[in-house]
Amino acid sequence: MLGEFEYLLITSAARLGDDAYGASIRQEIEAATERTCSIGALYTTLDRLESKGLVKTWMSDATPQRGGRAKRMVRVTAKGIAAASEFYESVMRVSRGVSWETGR
Amino acid sequence: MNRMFAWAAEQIARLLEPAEREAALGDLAESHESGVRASCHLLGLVARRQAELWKDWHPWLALIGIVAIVGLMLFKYARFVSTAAELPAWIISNYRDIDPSILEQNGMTLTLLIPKLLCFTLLLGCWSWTAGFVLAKLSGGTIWLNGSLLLLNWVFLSAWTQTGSLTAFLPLLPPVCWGIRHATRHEVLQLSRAILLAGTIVSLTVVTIWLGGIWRGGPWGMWLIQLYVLLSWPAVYLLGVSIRRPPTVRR
Repeated sequence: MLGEFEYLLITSAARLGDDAYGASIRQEIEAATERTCSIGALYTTLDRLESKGLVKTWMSDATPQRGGRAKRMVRVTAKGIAAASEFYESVMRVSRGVSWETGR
Repeated sequence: MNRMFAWAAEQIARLLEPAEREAALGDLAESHESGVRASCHLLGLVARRQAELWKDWHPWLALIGIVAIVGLMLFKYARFVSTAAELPAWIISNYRDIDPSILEQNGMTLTLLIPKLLCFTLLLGCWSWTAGFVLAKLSGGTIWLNGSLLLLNWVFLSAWTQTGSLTAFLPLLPPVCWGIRHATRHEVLQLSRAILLAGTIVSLTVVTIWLGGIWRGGPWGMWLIQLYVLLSWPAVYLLGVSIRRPPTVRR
C-alpha cells in the first residue's frame, strides 16, 4: 500500500492534471499540509513511484520564469489512480466513527 | 550574502544528474526560494541521492578495499620507497667526501641503488594509478566521498605515524588522480592495456622482490610480500572486468 507522502504526491498530481510538475506539486502539498515540502523528499518519492509504475515523468521545455530551466512533468498512471483510491478507501474505513471524523 | 548562497546552491546542484539539476534549480527559481533555503533543499536532495548509491555493494568495496586497505598499504610502501631513496640521496650529496671503494665493497654504488629505486618508484606509481582507476570505477557517484576519505586517510596516517611531515603521501596523489581521471573518461580499460598494466606490475614485483632481497624471507620479507599481494588486488579486478566487459565499439 502507498505511504502517506506518496498519497499526497499522487493526489496533488492527479488534481493538477496537465500542469503537474515538481514546483506545482510541491505548492499543492504545502498548501494542503501547511508544512514545508523538501525537494529531496519530492524527487526521491517521484522516482520510487515511477519505478512502481504509479506515475510517469518526463522533462519538458525550458521556460523563462524558471531561469531557462526545464520542468519535470508528472502524469499519474491508471495503476497510480487505483493505488491512491485503495489508500483513500482504507483511511475512510479505519476512520469511521472516530471522534475527529464525527466531529465530537 | 544571498548571492553567495545562490552561488553555493549552484555548486551543490552540480553533484546531481544534469536533468535533475535542471528541474530542481528551476523549481527553486520558480518558487523564489532564498539562497539559504535553496542550498538546504539541494543539500537534502544530494544527501538522499548519495545515500541511495550506498545501497549497492560497489561503493562499500571501494571504501573498505581501496580507501582503507590499499590506501594504508600504499602509504606504507610510499614510506618504504622514501626510506630507500635516502641512501642514494645521501651518497649524491656527499659524493666528494666518500671513498668509492667502501661503497663498492658494501654494494652501495649508485649503479645498483638507482635502478632499484627506479623499480620501487615505478611499481608504486603503477599500484597508485590502478588503485585510483578501480576506486573511481567501484565508487561511481560516490567518488567524491570515497576520494575525500582516501585523502583524509593519508593525512591521518601522516600525522599518526609521525613521519615529520603531513605531506608524506604527496607522491601518491598524481598517479591516483590520473587513474581516477582516466576511469571517469573511459568505460572500461581496453584488454590489451589491462594485460600490459598487469604484466608490468607482475614484472616489477618480481624484480623488486629479487633486487630487495625479499625472497630471502624473514619477518620483513614476509611483511613486504603480504603488502605486495594486498596492493595487487585492484589490478586483478581491473583485468577481470576488462576480460568480462570489453569496451563497446563506437560507430
